[in-house]
Amino acid sequence: MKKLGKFVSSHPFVSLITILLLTVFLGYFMKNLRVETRMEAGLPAHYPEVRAYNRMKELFPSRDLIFIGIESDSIFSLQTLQKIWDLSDTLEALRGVKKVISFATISKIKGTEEGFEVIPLMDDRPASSEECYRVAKLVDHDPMYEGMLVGKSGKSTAILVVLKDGISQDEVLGIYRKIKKIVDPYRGPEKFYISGKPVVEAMIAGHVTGDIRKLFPISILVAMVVLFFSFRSLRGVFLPVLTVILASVWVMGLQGLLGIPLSLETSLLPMLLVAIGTAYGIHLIHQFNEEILAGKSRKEAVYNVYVKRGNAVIIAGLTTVAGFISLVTSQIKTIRTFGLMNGIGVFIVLFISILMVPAFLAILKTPEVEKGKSPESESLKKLGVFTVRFNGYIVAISVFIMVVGALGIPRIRSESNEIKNFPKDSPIRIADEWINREFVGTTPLNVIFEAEKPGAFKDPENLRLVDEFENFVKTLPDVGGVMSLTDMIKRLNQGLFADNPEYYRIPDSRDLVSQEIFLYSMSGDPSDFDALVNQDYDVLNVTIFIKTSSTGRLKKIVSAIESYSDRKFSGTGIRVTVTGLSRLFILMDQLVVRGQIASVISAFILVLIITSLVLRSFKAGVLSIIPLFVVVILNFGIMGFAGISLTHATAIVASIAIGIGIDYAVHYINRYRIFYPEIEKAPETIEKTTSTVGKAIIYNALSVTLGFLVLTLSVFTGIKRLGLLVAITMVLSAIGALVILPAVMSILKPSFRR
Amino acid sequence: MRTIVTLLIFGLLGAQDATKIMWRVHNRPKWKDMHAFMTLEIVSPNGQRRIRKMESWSKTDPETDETRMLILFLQPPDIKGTKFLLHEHRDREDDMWIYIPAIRKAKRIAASGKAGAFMGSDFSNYDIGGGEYEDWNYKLLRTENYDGHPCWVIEATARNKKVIKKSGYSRMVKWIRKDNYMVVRTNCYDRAGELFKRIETNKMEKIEGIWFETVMTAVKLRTGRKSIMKFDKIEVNTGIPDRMFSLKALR
Repeated sequence: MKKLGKFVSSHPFVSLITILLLTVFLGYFMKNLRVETRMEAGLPAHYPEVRAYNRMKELFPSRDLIFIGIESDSIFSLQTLQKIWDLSDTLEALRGVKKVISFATISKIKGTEEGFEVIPLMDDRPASSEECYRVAKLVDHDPMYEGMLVGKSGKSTAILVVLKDGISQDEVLGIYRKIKKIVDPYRGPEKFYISGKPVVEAMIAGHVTGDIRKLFPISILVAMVVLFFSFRSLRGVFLPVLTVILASVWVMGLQGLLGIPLSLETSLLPMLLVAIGTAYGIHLIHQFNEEILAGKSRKEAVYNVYVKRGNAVIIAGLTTVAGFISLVTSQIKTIRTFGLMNGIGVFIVLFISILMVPAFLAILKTPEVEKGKSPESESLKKLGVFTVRFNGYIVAISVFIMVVGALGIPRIRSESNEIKNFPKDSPIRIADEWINREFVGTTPLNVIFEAEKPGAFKDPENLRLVDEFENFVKTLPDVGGVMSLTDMIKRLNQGLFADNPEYYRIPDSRDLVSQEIFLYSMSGDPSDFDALVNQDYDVLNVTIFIKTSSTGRLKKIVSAIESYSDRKFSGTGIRVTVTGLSRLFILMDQLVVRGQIASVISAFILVLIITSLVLRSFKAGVLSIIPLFVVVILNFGIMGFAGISLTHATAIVASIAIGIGIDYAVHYINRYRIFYPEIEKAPETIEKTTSTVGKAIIYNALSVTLGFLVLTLSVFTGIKRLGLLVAITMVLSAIGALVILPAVMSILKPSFRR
Repeated sequence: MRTIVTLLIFGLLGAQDATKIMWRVHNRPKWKDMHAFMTLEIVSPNGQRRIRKMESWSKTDPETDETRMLILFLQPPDIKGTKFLLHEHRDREDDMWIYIPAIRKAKRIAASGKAGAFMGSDFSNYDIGGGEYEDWNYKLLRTENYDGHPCWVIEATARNKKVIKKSGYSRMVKWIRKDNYMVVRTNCYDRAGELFKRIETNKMEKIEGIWFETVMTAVKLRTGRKSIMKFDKIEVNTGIPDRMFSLKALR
């Protein structure tokens, strides 16, 4: 510290130019930043669930589709069918679209005595109501369409836009925007709803950058207001703000340089750095002002800033870094990256603060510093007296609050469906809920059947096994529908026997199955089978549409399916794997919960180690984390009682709370240790400590709280809640450091030796 | 101004030439009849191969220029004995039947889905049928050597939306050999105008004075999946009797 102090105080320009060069270098790489918000990207690739999902995506073409729901008084009216025709026609020609599934593009199997036809529902743009009547007749009560293209109410239909495999999120967003533009002129009296997983994810990606643009300036403004009230001087406002802006540029540039995409979480980095990072500058300027007040020259003052405050600032920063780094224990990549980048970010703020702020102070002309009022405040002194007098009650109440909070913990629900990140009244959420009500559901579960021999799924015996499985699945609650090869084969068989309903079954001979499939491939589009079975007919994909996104209920469905297949498929040579988007939701939930527990524990341990080392006493380390226990348990209690679900966004709160909240306790204990040898009596030391550090802690907590409250202006529910929860925990941490900690200390009466 | 007019005239001439060339491509002389064995090999991107074998008979009426064709499927075993019969018509939709050995019945099928894949391969039914001359507007892009032979490079653009729907192509670019009017390569563009498939003639033979492509490959450029079609033991003008192509013979 002394060497650094000497260097910066005598060569301020060198450190400023270093900062400038690094800013230009890293800032350049901000252009490389991309956004990635797909859930799969966050999940660990080595997990069996993720492997199974990726394998399915390799074997079967993507079912990533954009769902356009149409609500109409009469879906078979000339006007509505014409709109469907025109829209399908335009959408099919869009770049990135593989195919469009709608009344305008699908065909129906029709069998007669002498013929077998796969006839398109619509040959051409309908021009008369007779043609529309024909379409209605063809669709009528065909189970192939119910829930897929005809909604529950009978007053809704859909256009499914299947996207090409392997297109990027930017492309998806582009396609979604084009679709919206294409659909808009067709609105009214029909209502159009657009949703689907790619849309949800692309919209998140689209809003992520918008969020930064909106929230970053606001958080800067808030920081400036807080700083102004704290310093009432220009440099007091601009130096810390400049620090955090530069740090944001560095971190974003670093992300671009390393090729780490922006996620919902890492997009928060700039705002978090503003909320957390101004504090370091504040400390340094305060010390400088005190030195000037004591009559030191600029150079001396800068040197003393390093010697006297340098360590304290670094410690406050390092505990925060530790809190974030604790998140690397998570199995979820996005959370891990967030923790790591934020840790690095805070470190950068620290680095810039220490190099740049004093350097500027050394250059700028000596300020006129007014003699401030006595740092001791009467009301804070009363608080100190109060905490000593009622120490027993305070501890009792804290324990009580902790117990109540702990009761809320089992009530916490986890949630991984990204759609919940949008407010209830947002168009996309409304669309998604309407679609889930009317149709089979937007979150599929896939069951993959793998046989040993090629052609196994032309065998009637195997097909019947799968058919029975399907019938079982249909009896499960929350199952909206099933899509499978067996339905198709039953329909083909019926078609071959002149549409006689008795023949809606799996044929008895393997050759007939093959020949029926062959017949279909000669008269219809053979790619209709692509999503159902692989080319060799030894891997089958049964898609189950689920009407709920509740992970608890999903888990029940999965375990019911797994126990059924254990019973019925063992010994058949057919391997059954349950996968699909819904399965990933379950995994995500499990990982978020598991990661939450791991990261809280490791954050506590890391912080305990750092504070113990810094305060050179394990006892002091333990003391400092006591208030945080209360805060963290209350945080989870609030989540449980207020129904705030645990998501990959809200899972970050506890680590932030520990990393930042610890500063206040460390501050408090540090001062206590300085005063104790003079006073040698715990109660009086507490009164003096509270009255001197109270203001700094309150100001610091206030600025961080306000900084995080800015996040409640975000578009995303998850981020709003994250901001609110951190704000609450900051207030609680300050109370913990100024009320609970002194109460505990006045009971334990620690006597620290320096 | 004069240059524009000149360009315009040359442009029109170009279109004229291309149309003429394509007319000749579509109206090359034909044999009276043909008998051959066909092998269709489908190679998936990971190298897996599936083979289908067929025997085919075809005959063209010299007066109406209508072709009749019978295909007997030999392999894979589970569809062995399946037959496909086609009666081409100039004035109406073609007639098509399939004989299903498992139920010993022939079924008439409708001609929908020409853009669909031929027997699950990368050739579409439209490719196999050779396409229709009237569906496209032609333009000569350039001339260049392909595989050592001077070729015309001709762009065929769909005349209307129906053609796009029927064929699955918005546009094709064809390489045509100047010496024999054989198409040696076709680039196919999808509805969004993206190049997605390439068809190449790998081998051609001159039989009884008429050129014929005996090995052709279609590759889907996005996935890398490809299909190879081979003709073997070609016999021509042997006098295949008409009853070969009757509905009765199908049973």
